[in-house]
Amino acid sequence: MEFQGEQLIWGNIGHLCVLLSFVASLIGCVAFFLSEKSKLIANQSYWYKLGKSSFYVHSAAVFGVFFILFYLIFNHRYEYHYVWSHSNNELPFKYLLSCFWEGQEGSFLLWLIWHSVLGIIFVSRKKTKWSAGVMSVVSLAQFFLSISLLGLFFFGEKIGSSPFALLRHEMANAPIFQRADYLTLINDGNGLNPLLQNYWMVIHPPILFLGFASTLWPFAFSIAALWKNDYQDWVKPVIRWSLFSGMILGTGIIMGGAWAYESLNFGGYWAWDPVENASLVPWLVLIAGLHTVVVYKATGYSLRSTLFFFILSFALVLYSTFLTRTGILGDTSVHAFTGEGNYLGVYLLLFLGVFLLGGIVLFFIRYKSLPDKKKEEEISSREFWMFIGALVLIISSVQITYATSLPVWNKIFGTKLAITDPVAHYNSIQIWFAVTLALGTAIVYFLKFKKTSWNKVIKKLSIPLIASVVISAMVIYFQELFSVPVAILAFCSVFTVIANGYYIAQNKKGNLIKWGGNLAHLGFGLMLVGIVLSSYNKNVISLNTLGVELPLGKESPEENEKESRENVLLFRGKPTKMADYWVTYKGDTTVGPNHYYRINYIKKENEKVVEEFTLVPNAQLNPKMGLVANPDTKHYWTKDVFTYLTTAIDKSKIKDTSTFKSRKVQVGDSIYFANGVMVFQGFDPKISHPNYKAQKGDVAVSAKLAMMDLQGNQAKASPVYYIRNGSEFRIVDTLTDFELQVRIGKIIPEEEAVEIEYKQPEALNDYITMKAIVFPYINFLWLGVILMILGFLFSLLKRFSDK
Amino acid sequence: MKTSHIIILVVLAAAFGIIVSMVGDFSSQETFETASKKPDKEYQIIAVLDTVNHSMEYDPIQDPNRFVFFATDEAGSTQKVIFSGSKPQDFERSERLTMTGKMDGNTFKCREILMKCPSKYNTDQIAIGT
Repeated sequence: MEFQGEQLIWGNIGHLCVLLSFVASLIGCVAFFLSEKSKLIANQSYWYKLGKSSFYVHSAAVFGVFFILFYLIFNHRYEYHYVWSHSNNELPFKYLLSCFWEGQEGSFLLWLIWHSVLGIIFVSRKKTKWSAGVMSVVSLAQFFLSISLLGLFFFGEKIGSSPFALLRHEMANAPIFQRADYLTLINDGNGLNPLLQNYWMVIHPPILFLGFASTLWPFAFSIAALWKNDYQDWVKPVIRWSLFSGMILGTGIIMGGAWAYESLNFGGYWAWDPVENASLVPWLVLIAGLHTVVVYKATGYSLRSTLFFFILSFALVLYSTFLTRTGILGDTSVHAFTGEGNYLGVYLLLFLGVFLLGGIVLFFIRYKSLPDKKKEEEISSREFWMFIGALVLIISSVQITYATSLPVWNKIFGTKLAITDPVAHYNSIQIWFAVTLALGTAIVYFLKFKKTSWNKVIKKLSIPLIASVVISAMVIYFQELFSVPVAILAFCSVFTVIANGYYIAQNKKGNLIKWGGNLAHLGFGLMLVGIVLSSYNKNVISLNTLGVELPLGKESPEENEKESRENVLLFRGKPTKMADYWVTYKGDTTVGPNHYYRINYIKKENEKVVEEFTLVPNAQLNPKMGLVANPDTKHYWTKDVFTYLTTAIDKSKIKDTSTFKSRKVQVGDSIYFANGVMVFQGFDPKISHPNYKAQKGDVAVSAKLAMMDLQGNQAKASPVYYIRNGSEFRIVDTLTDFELQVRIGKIIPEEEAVEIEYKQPEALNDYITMKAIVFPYINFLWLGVILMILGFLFSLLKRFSDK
Repeated sequence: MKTSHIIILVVLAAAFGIIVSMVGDFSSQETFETASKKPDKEYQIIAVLDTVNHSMEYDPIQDPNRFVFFATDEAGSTQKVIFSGSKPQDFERSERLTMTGKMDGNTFKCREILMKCPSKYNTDQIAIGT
């Protein structure tokens, strides 16, 4: 059968690009490998040139795949399965890119693209003795990633899935494909998950993937060095790459947190969700490697750990892909990735196996011959404590990985273990790693490489130490951090901030970029301060005061109450007390698929309003996913008030049973209604109501009504009455915030009076339930994160300016 | 033994001590029946919503934090579940529920629900427009 209207040419070119990228990466890998193995310089450069050309061809093909897929999405070519699954006609242009990271093929493609970009930057620079070795590893990774896009059958098993697969092939059984003109019936795609239609989701995934991609370089350098068994001139490029990687991956992770905080409703920036953990662990291990490589550069110690950590870091990126993409996390994660068959698991395990085992085997073959210092480190040396810090990072990673992998253990051992409260579980363990790391980052710069006199350290540290004790004692007292671990962490974090600030102030000679390390440590401390204050004193203020108490079997009544009543019910227009605030649901507005709910917060002291703001959380009514709620947050310097909807009712199902009441009034008379009063101020011959369109011969008049509700809010209404072609017409004025509709019933000229008709649709029918949380001092967290990222940037700039 | 090695060993020992001590934190996935044997302990139960034989109850005007429904666990037994929160949107469409909470008699007092909805890449339905 000849199908009509399909544009197959682009898909075919796309397929060709996929195949080309696959073949070219294989040729490149072999060529770089032979270049590295060759003894003769001429052979080396011959193979290297071939490898380089193949890599360029490979990258061009990868970009080709990207642009063709983009073209197909842009033009809504729904004959392609990927386009149909992840986009639709309404999708705004700015979210077209997000289609790439919703689907599995698209995210592998993104990964390929970043490797290509970094690889092109790497090979286009001057060739060093590491180039061939590093590029063999990079090309091998590209070879594996290209497999994921193949979508070809080998021995009856489908390998990879192509982004250019046709809808009629993927769903061959659907009867619609019996028709040659099926495409005329498919006018729209499946659409993009509304959670991804958010500006954070435009920038967070590409940066996170750039971070993941960049961890390949420290890995590849480690393999190249082990392969050559040569560790000279190796440190400089590795430090640069690992700083770059640490900066980008760190930014990507925290952007995920910011996205969760700004637009998801799990009420926080970090939930220890498996998917979050899976991105955090490679970063922690990378940072451990970054510290040991600095130790190696300065002293010659810690080479073994450095190599081991860098190998592990990329392997963990692969492991996290395995965890999040194969659906093995199944019932433990809120993230929506679903399992796509056994093939993907096998493929990713193979990918992981080759890189992890290959790296580890090579590492142990070389282990004995790795240069090592016979003399042990001094306990008073900087390198010793940096190593301990790296060790703590690794142990912290081990714990997170161990607990996150519970579903994997369950699968292997047939157990059914579960963590019922992940946040409490991870927090209670990780707090001690945070304490140790904070202490370490506070003192490490006061220690010297090789050997330090303890007396001098104590002398130098005494001022920041005393200052930290005083300040943290005040913080603990006034912020009521009355829990031993939390108080200890509060002290250690403050100490880190002050000690590093003090160190910069004492040694402030030279360029700012010299203090990158201190700045990153200071930022880390500030971030911890923000975490302590915002999470320990996180306050759910929407505790409900209606309804029955649920006996939940909690120890204390307070706990019981907190558990059971975090949602509050708000009727429209009825102020409800929540902590210090009077909160009122004022009404809602619909714009496109989004419903915006106006929630007014007022804080009063002695009957005077001292604080007032309106939050507009929204909910998207999505036919595929139901109601998707987005929070809204009032940001202050010292706290955030976070609000989101938990239930909203379908407005179309409310029946308005109320009827108009009528009152005859003269100028100056007032009418009382349920929640306020209105005063008739006279007639206005100038009609300003937007719904009134003047016509020749109209006799029109509008009534001036001034409103005031019980809270003192004021408004004006101007209903219109007009006679056109001998008939009466009335235009109702609706004041949503007053829950009032008002119109003119009759004008009685002889009495200079008017009959005002008004009604109040029953507010009890219109309600929402919502949650509100106050996060105190969360800005310390964001500020700390920004300083930490800047610290990475400064260190990177410094490493580039070092000749 | 070198002093630095001792310190490293102490760090390792302390860390693993902490990790091992937290194993007691692990709970397990149970069924209604096994969970009811230890009513004080929180468990996870994986179940499927039953709307055929029972109806759901949620009246936010009465209490916005009480949502009652029936679910069938993996062993096939159906029990009443009281969730202390608002009814999750689209609950009817859920395929699988991961519920965290405690058994109280024949009722499961649920603190948290994770729902799996049918994949958003719904592959067996094509919306046809003309």
